[in-house]
Amino acid sequence: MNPLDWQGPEFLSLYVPLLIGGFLVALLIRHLLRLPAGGPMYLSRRTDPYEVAALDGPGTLMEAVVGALIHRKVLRLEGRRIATGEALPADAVSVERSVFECAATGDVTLEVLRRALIHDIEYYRRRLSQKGLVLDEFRARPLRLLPSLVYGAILLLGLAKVFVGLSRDRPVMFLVLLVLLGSLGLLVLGRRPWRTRLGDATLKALREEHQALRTTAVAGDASQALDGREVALAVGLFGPAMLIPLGYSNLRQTLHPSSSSSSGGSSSGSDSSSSCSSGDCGSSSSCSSGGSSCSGGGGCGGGGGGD
Amino acid sequence: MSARTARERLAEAQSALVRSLAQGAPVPAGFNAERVQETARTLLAKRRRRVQRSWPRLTEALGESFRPRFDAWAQENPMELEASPLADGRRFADALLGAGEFPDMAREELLIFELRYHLTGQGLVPRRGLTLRSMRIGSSILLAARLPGGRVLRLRLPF
Amino acid sequence: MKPLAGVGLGWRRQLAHRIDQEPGLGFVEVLAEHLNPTAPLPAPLLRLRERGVPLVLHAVSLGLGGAEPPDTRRLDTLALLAKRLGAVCVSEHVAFVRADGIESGHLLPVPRGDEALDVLAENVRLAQAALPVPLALENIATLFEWPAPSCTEAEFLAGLLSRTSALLLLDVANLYANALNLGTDAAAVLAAVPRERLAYVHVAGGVRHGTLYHDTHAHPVPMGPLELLEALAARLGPVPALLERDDHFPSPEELAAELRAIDAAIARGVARREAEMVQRPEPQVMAARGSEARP
Repeated sequence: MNPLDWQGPEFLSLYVPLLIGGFLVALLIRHLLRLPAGGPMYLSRRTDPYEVAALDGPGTLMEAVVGALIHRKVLRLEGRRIATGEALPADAVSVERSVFECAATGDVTLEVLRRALIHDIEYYRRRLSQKGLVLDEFRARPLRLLPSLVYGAILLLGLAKVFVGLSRDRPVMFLVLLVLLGSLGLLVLGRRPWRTRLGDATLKALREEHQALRTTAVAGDASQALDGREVALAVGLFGPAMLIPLGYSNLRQTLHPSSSSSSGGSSSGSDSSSSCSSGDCGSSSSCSSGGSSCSGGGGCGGGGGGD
Repeated sequence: MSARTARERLAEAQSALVRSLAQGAPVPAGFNAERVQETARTLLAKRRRRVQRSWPRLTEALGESFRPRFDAWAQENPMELEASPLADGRRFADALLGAGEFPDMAREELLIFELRYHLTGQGLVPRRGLTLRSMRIGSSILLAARLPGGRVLRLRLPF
Repeated sequence: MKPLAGVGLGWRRQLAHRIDQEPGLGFVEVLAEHLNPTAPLPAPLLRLRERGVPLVLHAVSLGLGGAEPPDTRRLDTLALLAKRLGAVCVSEHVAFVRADGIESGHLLPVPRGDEALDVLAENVRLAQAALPVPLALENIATLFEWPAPSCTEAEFLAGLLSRTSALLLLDVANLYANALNLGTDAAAVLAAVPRERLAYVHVAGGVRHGTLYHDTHAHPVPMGPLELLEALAARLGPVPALLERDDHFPSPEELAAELRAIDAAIARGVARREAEMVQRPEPQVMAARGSEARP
């Protein structure tokens, strides 16, 4: 029984579930191959925050370094440019040095940084893969190939049926569309994987461990209360979006010029939604999206400050 | 003298003082007028700052005119029911809307507030469940939804 | 009430990370108005509770100094929050906040007279009955006083302590402000505080504007309140003290310095007290010496 000889509707009733099922199986293979797995690894308190940022991904690492250097005033924002500010401290690590040099010699964009930091990113990747948190090249390749091959074979079957149908002058439009749409799945399956399942669990555990850091970062007005290392860790754990409540939304816009049509409006609005939905705003409370409610500010005078 | 009559006398005296502080009524007899007025200014500044913190877009949109407008409104409209800056700001926004002076830049902030809260005669009530709102802003349409659980989603359509 | 000890810090979201990382904090104060009673507690507070850090719940909207009895709904919410936090005590203020349906949004002074004291005492008793843990009352700072007070601030506090079983939260910054702005006798207030009724002490920063001192909670703590804290420790021995910071949050180094300064002030006071105790021997020793000296 050759499925290629089947009538259109019969073939589709086989092919559509095969395509969907094949995609899911391919995803599952990808998931299973992201070894090692297991419970979260315990990372000591003094772990390099840049390593944690690298665990999230190279993009996060880059924004964590830029954010930390801006926070420490080693870099500064000049209009739409990132320029150098104060001198680089003597205890700066390699990735900080690379970013600083990048800012000193030209424009700092994410593409430029990706090239300039290629060695530093590789350094962190090696460290993390030695701990089993990130996939090394050896393990990453079959992870991209195998699921793609499995799924690709199913797509080829569909393609073959298209030619068979064309040679017999049968309507093939629907099948062509299906195969084209299905090939988008190859893009998903071909993505470079980063973390192992152990890496996923470790990152998740780190995020739970540092909820207080997240609370502080999204609170707004907290910029001075954190040092550079803590800013880097906040970005590394909770994403570059943390730069916005920390007061560096301009930095984010410079690095991502095409995103977010409206200005700070929607971003800070979404931050108040995140901070309020975490349950610390009451209906009758004087909680605000930014600072504390009973703040004295200047001239609170009298009994006002006596909260 | 019974405690109840003492409460009544206390209530009367405290009302006079609070009216003087919050609404610019005359300073009651025997008080140091300068100090009471200084406290009244502090109260107003505190109230204004808290509303500014709760309504940053509105503050930005009104710019320099926020302070005089708010201060004028605040004297006529003391806080009642609860000292919530969110509710306070919402009522101020109502006054601006009524006078046709609500700035466009702050409309989105107002929409988001409406998704999360409902201002009633009994005060601020957080919304529950799914709420949908839409608004025309400039040349685009903003659709926003509050999902059960609290998250707010936004979608801008450019037509 | 399980006694508090050491130096504490008021919990604010901007300080959540610092408080989480700080191993040496004696206790932490949580503001009731920042919590949503219908939602779970913020994760960092749950962690503090799990770690066994003593927590106290601080409220500002009961208005115990007002003419109305405290609102039962507010009391119920406070009781609920206190239970969920495992709070060691609840603290409020010797102040009123509303009258005639108008919310002032501010802590306003209570007239210093017998009638007002009676009403206040009754309100305090009603609040205590509704709360599962002890209630402590804080003295406030104010720029003005009621006309014709019949007693001093020290006498008023003593009267409150004698009419109720409530504890005292002594705010040395507020006391300092009143001393500067009203001429209040700070030493007399300190002398009116019995050790067994003192729950803890508040310390906060402020700033001078012209001739007036404003207790802002947004500036470093000046020497004045620290000296009062030292004097209190010289009288009573070590006392638990909490730093309040609400705004312009300082860098980690600055915050650590503030906490150290509080610790140092208490240590100086305790040292003075011990020195005085050495110089002034106990009465029975004097009597024994006296009997020896008799030929």
